[in-house]
Amino acid sequence: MGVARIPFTQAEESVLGQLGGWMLFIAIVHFIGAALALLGSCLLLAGGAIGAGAASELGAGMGIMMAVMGVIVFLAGGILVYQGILLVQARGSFQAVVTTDHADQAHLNAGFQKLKIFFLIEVVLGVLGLIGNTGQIVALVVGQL
Amino acid sequence: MNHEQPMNEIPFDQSELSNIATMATLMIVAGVITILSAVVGIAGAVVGVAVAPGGAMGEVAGNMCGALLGALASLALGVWLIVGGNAFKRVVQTDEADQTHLATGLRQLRNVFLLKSVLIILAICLVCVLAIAGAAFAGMSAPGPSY
Repeated sequence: MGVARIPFTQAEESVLGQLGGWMLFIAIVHFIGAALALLGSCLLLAGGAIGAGAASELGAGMGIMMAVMGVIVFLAGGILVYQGILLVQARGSFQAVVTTDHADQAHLNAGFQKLKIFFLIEVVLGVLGLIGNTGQIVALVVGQL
Repeated sequence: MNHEQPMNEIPFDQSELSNIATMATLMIVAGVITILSAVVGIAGAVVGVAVAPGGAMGEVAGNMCGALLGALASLALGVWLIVGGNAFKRVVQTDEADQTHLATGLRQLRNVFLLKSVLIILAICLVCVLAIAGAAFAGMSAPGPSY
Protein backbone atom coordinates (compact mmCIF):
# COMPACT_ATOMS: atom_id res chain seq x y z
CA MET A 1 0.00 0.00 0.00
CA GLY A 2 1.54 3.33 -1.08
CA VAL A 3 1.54 6.66 0.69
CA ALA A 4 -1.85 8.39 0.43
CA ARG A 5 -0.40 11.87 0.67
CA ILE A 6 3.12 13.03 -0.12
CA PRO A 7 3.49 16.48 1.52
CA PHE A 8 4.54 18.44 -1.58
CA THR A 9 4.98 22.17 -0.96
CA GLN A 10 2.98 24.78 -2.88
CA ALA A 11 5.98 25.38 -5.15
CA GLU A 12 6.38 21.66 -5.88
CA GLU A 13 2.68 21.27 -6.63
CA SER A 14 2.91 24.28 -8.91
CA VAL A 15 5.79 22.58 -10.79
CA LEU A 16 3.63 19.46 -11.19
CA GLY A 17 0.75 21.58 -12.47
CA GLN A 18 3.00 23.39 -14.98
CA LEU A 19 4.52 20.07 -16.08
CA GLY A 20 1.01 18.77 -16.79
CA GLY A 21 0.14 21.91 -18.74
CA TRP A 22 3.19 21.74 -21.01
CA MET A 23 2.70 17.99 -21.50
CA LEU A 24 -0.84 18.68 -22.67
CA PHE A 25 0.44 21.33 -25.12
CA ILE A 26 3.00 18.88 -26.58
CA ALA A 27 0.28 16.20 -26.77
CA ILE A 28 -1.99 18.56 -28.75
CA VAL A 29 0.90 19.35 -31.13
CA HIS A 30 1.41 15.58 -31.54
CA PHE A 31 -2.28 15.09 -32.37
CA ILE A 32 -2.17 17.92 -34.96
CA GLY A 33 1.01 16.42 -36.43
CA ALA A 34 -0.67 13.01 -36.56
CA ALA A 35 -3.69 14.47 -38.38
CA LEU A 36 -1.36 16.07 -40.96
CA ALA A 37 0.55 12.78 -41.27
CA LEU A 38 -2.71 10.92 -41.85
CA LEU A 39 -3.67 13.41 -44.57
CA GLY A 40 -0.20 13.12 -46.14
CA SER A 41 -0.27 9.33 -46.05
CA CYS A 42 -3.72 9.28 -47.71
CA LEU A 43 -2.43 11.54 -50.52
CA LEU A 44 0.72 9.44 -50.91
CA LEU A 45 -1.26 6.17 -50.99
CA ALA A 46 -3.70 7.63 -53.54
CA GLY A 47 -0.78 8.87 -55.65
CA GLY A 48 0.86 5.47 -55.29
CA ALA A 49 -2.28 3.67 -56.45
CA ILE A 50 -2.53 5.93 -59.52
CA GLY A 51 1.19 5.53 -60.26
CA ALA A 52 1.13 1.75 -59.82
CA GLY A 53 -1.54 1.54 -62.53
CA ALA A 54 0.59 3.55 -64.97
CA ALA A 55 1.66 1.89 -68.17
CA SER A 56 5.31 2.94 -67.96
CA GLU A 57 7.82 1.12 -65.75
CA LEU A 58 9.01 4.44 -64.28
CA GLY A 59 5.47 5.45 -63.32
CA ALA A 60 4.83 2.07 -61.66
CA GLY A 61 8.12 2.33 -59.74
CA MET A 62 7.25 5.82 -58.55
CA GLY A 63 3.81 4.58 -57.52
CA ILE A 64 5.26 1.79 -55.39
CA MET A 65 7.73 4.24 -53.81
CA MET A 66 4.91 6.66 -52.98
CA ALA A 67 2.84 3.84 -51.47
CA VAL A 68 5.77 2.74 -49.28
CA MET A 69 6.30 6.36 -48.17
CA GLY A 70 2.58 6.62 -47.43
CA VAL A 71 2.78 3.59 -45.13
CA ILE A 72 5.86 5.04 -43.36
CA VAL A 73 4.13 8.43 -42.86
CA PHE A 74 1.03 6.61 -41.58
CA LEU A 75 3.16 4.71 -39.04
CA ALA A 76 4.84 7.97 -37.98
CA GLY A 77 1.38 9.45 -37.42
CA GLY A 78 0.46 6.42 -35.30
CA ILE A 79 3.57 6.92 -33.16
CA LEU A 80 2.66 10.60 -32.70
CA VAL A 81 -0.86 9.67 -31.57
CA TYR A 82 0.49 7.06 -29.14
CA GLN A 83 2.99 9.51 -27.65
CA GLY A 84 0.24 12.12 -27.35
CA ILE A 85 -2.04 9.66 -25.53
CA LEU A 86 0.82 8.72 -23.16
CA LEU A 87 1.40 12.40 -22.36
CA VAL A 88 -2.30 13.05 -21.72
CA GLN A 89 -2.48 10.02 -19.41
CA ALA A 90 0.71 11.04 -17.54
CA ARG A 91 -0.68 14.56 -17.18
CA GLY A 92 -3.89 13.15 -15.69
CA SER A 93 -1.88 11.19 -13.12
CA PHE A 94 0.25 14.21 -12.14
CA GLN A 95 -2.87 16.41 -11.90
CA ALA A 96 -4.39 13.80 -9.57
CA VAL A 97 -1.32 14.11 -7.30
CA VAL A 98 -1.98 17.85 -7.06
CA THR A 99 -5.77 17.83 -6.78
CA THR A 100 -6.34 14.77 -4.56
CA ASP A 101 -4.75 13.39 -1.39
CA HIS A 102 -5.86 9.78 -1.37
CA ALA A 103 -3.27 7.95 -3.51
CA ASP A 104 -0.36 10.30 -4.35
CA GLN A 105 2.22 7.53 -4.61
CA ALA A 106 0.05 5.39 -6.89
CA HIS A 107 -0.71 8.39 -9.14
CA LEU A 108 2.99 9.31 -9.35
CA ASN A 109 3.86 5.74 -10.28
CA ALA A 110 1.15 5.68 -12.96
CA GLY A 111 2.54 8.92 -14.43
CA PHE A 112 6.09 7.59 -14.44
CA GLN A 113 4.93 4.39 -16.14
CA LYS A 114 3.52 6.41 -19.05
CA LEU A 115 6.61 8.65 -19.21
CA LYS A 116 8.84 5.56 -19.29
CA ILE A 117 7.19 4.37 -22.52
CA PHE A 118 7.26 7.95 -23.90
CA PHE A 119 11.03 8.20 -23.32
CA LEU A 120 11.60 4.69 -24.72
CA ILE A 121 10.02 5.85 -28.01
CA GLU A 122 12.04 9.09 -27.85
CA VAL A 123 15.27 7.09 -27.43
CA VAL A 124 14.48 4.81 -30.40
CA LEU A 125 13.54 7.78 -32.61
CA GLY A 126 16.62 9.69 -31.39
CA VAL A 127 18.95 6.82 -32.31
CA LEU A 128 17.32 6.52 -35.75
CA GLY A 129 17.65 10.29 -36.29
CA LEU A 130 21.25 10.28 -35.15
CA ILE A 131 22.11 7.42 -37.53
CA GLY A 132 20.33 9.21 -40.39
CA ASN A 133 22.07 12.55 -39.76
CA THR A 134 25.49 10.95 -39.36
CA GLY A 135 24.90 8.97 -42.56
CA GLN A 136 24.05 12.19 -44.41
CA ILE A 137 27.27 13.86 -43.23
CA VAL A 138 29.36 10.81 -44.15
CA ALA A 139 27.70 10.68 -47.58
CA LEU A 140 28.42 14.41 -48.10
CA VAL A 141 32.08 13.96 -47.15
CA VAL A 142 32.51 10.76 -49.18
CA GLY A 143 30.81 12.39 -52.15
CA GLN A 144 33.47 15.13 -52.11
CA LEU A 145 36.41 12.68 -52.11
CA MET B 1 1.64 27.68 3.99
CA ASN B 2 2.86 24.12 4.18
CA HIS B 3 5.20 23.52 7.15
CA GLU B 4 5.37 19.72 6.83
CA GLN B 5 8.81 18.17 6.54
CA PRO B 6 9.57 16.55 3.16
CA MET B 7 9.53 12.76 3.28
CA ASN B 8 12.98 11.20 3.52
CA GLU B 9 11.77 7.79 2.41
CA ILE B 10 8.72 7.27 0.24
CA PRO B 11 7.92 3.54 0.56
CA PHE B 12 8.00 2.60 -3.13
CA ASP B 13 7.73 -1.16 -3.66
CA GLN B 14 10.08 -3.15 -5.89
CA SER B 15 7.99 -2.80 -9.07
CA GLU B 16 7.61 0.96 -8.54
CA LEU B 17 11.35 1.36 -7.91
CA SER B 18 12.12 -0.65 -11.03
CA ASN B 19 9.67 1.52 -13.00
CA ILE B 20 11.34 4.75 -11.78
CA ALA B 21 14.84 3.33 -12.38
CA THR B 22 13.98 2.37 -15.98
CA MET B 23 12.46 5.78 -16.65
CA ALA B 24 15.52 7.49 -15.15
CA THR B 25 17.87 5.41 -17.32
CA LEU B 26 15.83 6.19 -20.43
CA MET B 27 15.90 9.91 -19.56
CA ILE B 28 19.70 9.82 -19.23
CA VAL B 29 20.08 7.91 -22.53
CA ALA B 30 17.69 10.37 -24.23
CA GLY B 31 19.77 13.23 -22.81
CA VAL B 32 23.02 11.79 -24.15
CA ILE B 33 21.42 11.21 -27.57
CA THR B 34 20.10 14.80 -27.58
CA ILE B 35 23.59 16.18 -26.83
CA LEU B 36 25.11 13.93 -29.52
CA SER B 37 22.47 15.24 -31.95
CA ALA B 38 23.61 18.78 -31.13
CA VAL B 39 27.21 17.85 -31.92
CA VAL B 40 26.18 16.11 -35.16
CA GLY B 41 24.04 19.15 -36.09
CA ILE B 42 27.02 21.50 -35.73
CA ALA B 43 29.26 19.06 -37.61
CA GLY B 44 26.65 18.89 -40.37
CA ALA B 45 26.54 22.68 -40.68
CA VAL B 46 30.35 22.91 -40.79
CA VAL B 47 30.59 20.11 -43.39
CA GLY B 48 27.81 21.79 -45.40
CA VAL B 49 29.79 25.06 -45.51
CA ALA B 50 33.04 23.23 -46.34
CA VAL B 51 31.47 21.13 -49.09
CA ALA B 52 29.56 23.98 -50.77
CA PRO B 53 31.79 27.05 -50.25
CA GLY B 54 30.15 28.94 -53.12
CA GLY B 55 27.11 29.97 -51.06
CA ALA B 56 26.34 33.60 -50.24
CA MET B 57 27.87 34.91 -46.99
CA GLY B 58 24.44 35.68 -45.53
CA GLU B 59 23.18 32.17 -46.31
CA VAL B 60 26.24 30.58 -44.70
CA ALA B 61 25.93 32.80 -41.61
CA GLY B 62 22.20 32.02 -41.38
CA ASN B 63 22.81 28.26 -41.58
CA MET B 64 25.55 28.44 -38.94
CA CYS B 65 23.38 30.60 -36.64
CA GLY B 66 20.46 28.17 -37.02
CA ALA B 67 22.71 25.20 -36.29
CA LEU B 68 24.22 26.91 -33.23
CA LEU B 69 20.82 27.91 -31.81
CA GLY B 70 19.48 24.39 -32.41
CA ALA B 71 22.57 22.91 -30.77
CA LEU B 72 22.22 25.24 -27.77
CA ALA B 73 18.58 24.20 -27.28
CA SER B 74 19.50 20.52 -27.68
CA LEU B 75 22.33 20.95 -25.18
CA ALA B 76 19.95 22.47 -22.60
CA LEU B 77 17.40 19.70 -23.18
CA GLY B 78 20.10 17.03 -22.89
CA VAL B 79 21.55 18.47 -19.67
CA TRP B 80 18.07 18.78 -18.06
CA LEU B 81 17.22 15.20 -19.07
CA ILE B 82 20.47 13.89 -17.56
CA VAL B 83 20.12 15.93 -14.34
CA GLY B 84 16.46 14.88 -14.00
CA GLY B 85 17.30 11.24 -14.70
CA ASN B 86 20.04 11.31 -12.06
CA ALA B 87 17.62 12.83 -9.51
CA PHE B 88 15.12 10.01 -10.14
CA LYS B 89 17.99 7.49 -9.87
CA ARG B 90 18.79 8.90 -6.41
CA VAL B 91 15.15 8.31 -5.38
CA VAL B 92 15.73 4.63 -6.15
CA GLN B 93 19.27 4.27 -4.82
CA THR B 94 19.04 6.28 -1.57
CA ASP B 95 16.52 6.82 1.20
CA GLU B 96 17.79 10.09 2.62
CA ALA B 97 15.71 12.68 0.74
CA ASP B 98 13.30 10.94 -1.64
CA GLN B 99 10.83 13.81 -1.88
CA THR B 100 13.55 16.41 -2.54
CA HIS B 101 15.06 14.24 -5.30
CA LEU B 102 11.60 13.61 -6.74
CA ALA B 103 10.90 17.35 -6.80
CA THR B 104 14.27 18.01 -8.51
CA GLY B 105 13.51 15.40 -11.18
CA LEU B 106 10.03 16.79 -11.78
CA ARG B 107 11.43 20.34 -12.05
CA GLN B 108 13.89 19.20 -14.74
CA LEU B 109 11.07 17.38 -16.56
CA ARG B 110 9.02 20.60 -16.45
CA ASN B 111 11.98 22.50 -17.95
CA VAL B 112 12.32 19.90 -20.73
CA PHE B 113 8.66 20.06 -21.75
CA LEU B 114 8.62 23.87 -21.35
CA LEU B 115 11.61 24.32 -23.69
CA LYS B 116 10.16 21.83 -26.20
CA SER B 117 6.91 23.82 -26.19
CA VAL B 118 8.74 27.15 -26.62
CA LEU B 119 10.70 25.69 -29.56
CA ILE B 120 7.47 24.47 -31.17
CA ILE B 121 5.85 27.91 -30.69
CA LEU B 122 8.96 29.61 -32.17
CA ALA B 123 8.92 27.21 -35.14
CA ILE B 124 5.22 27.96 -35.79
CA CYS B 125 5.91 31.74 -35.55
CA LEU B 126 8.87 31.38 -37.94
CA VAL B 127 6.74 29.49 -40.47
CA CYS B 128 4.00 32.16 -40.20
CA VAL B 129 6.52 35.02 -40.65
CA LEU B 130 8.10 33.27 -43.66
CA ALA B 131 4.67 32.60 -45.19
CA ILE B 132 3.61 36.25 -44.73
CA ALA B 133 6.95 37.52 -46.07
CA GLY B 134 6.67 35.14 -49.04
CA ALA B 135 3.13 36.27 -49.80
CA ALA B 136 4.13 39.95 -49.51
CA PHE B 137 7.13 39.37 -51.80
CA ALA B 138 4.96 37.53 -54.33
CA GLY B 139 2.42 40.38 -54.19
CA MET B 140 5.11 43.00 -54.80
CA SER B 141 6.73 41.17 -57.68
CA ALA B 142 3.42 40.30 -59.38
CA PRO B 143 2.60 42.54 -62.37
CA GLY B 144 0.08 45.27 -61.50
CA PRO B 145 -3.31 45.62 -63.19
CA SER B 146 -3.11 47.01 -66.68
CA TYR B 147 -5.49 49.85 -67.49
